Amino acid sequence: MENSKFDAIIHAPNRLQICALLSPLEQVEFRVIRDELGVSDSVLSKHIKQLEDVGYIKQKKSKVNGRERRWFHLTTKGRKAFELHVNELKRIVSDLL
Amino acid sequence: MTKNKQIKSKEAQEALDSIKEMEHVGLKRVLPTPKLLGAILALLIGTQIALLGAEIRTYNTILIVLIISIAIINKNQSAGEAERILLSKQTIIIGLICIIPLYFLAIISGQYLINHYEHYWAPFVIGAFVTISIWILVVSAQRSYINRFNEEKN
Repeated sequence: MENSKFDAIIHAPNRLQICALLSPLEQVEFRVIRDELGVSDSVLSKHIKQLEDVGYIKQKKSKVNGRERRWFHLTTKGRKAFELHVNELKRIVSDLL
Repeated sequence: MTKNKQIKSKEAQEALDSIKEMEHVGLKRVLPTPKLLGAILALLIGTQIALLGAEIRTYNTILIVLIISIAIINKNQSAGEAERILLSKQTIIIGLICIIPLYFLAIISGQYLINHYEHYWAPFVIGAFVTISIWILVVSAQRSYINRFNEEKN
């Protein structure tokens, strides 16, 4: 069974960072991802939409003190794709050694 | 071909470094219960058990309000922006099923020791024991998380 696969959707720098930030966590709020990546709301929304479209991440909305908060988490499909992508990156690096 | 492979490899290494850095950032966001809040919570629960054991109910409402407030502050501080479930839901439910009877057992034991043996100090010793136990649990959880965090960092 294939245990590494390059994923062009994940590989884009910002999307790679989003997946890496979400991978060890259960869920992360929108503004945390935005602040850690240092991008604008619109740029982040664009990348999140791309990841959502392929079913790699999902969002959940909740209200705190009347304000809507958006939480994101990696889906099982997203976790698997990210893991395969990381394995592929490791394989590329180790092939040169 | 070799040049292409080198570029690819360099890019891959950079991507791996960036992944590691972001994973580290994510883990840093979700440290469990801060020590100070853990100590306050432990002290409040221990005090409540001691007072209820000694059948002093005057401060019970205040203590309950304080315990709930600290628990809410703790949740907002440690898991307000990102969450990481360290224990499975099943473990949490089993833990609560075990802890809740222990809480009542501690109170009833204090009352029993006063009523039957006139050991008026007993509820306070039990309360102190509960406080120390909760504090040890909080510190252990912190240490185990920091160890795991350092392992993942390396």
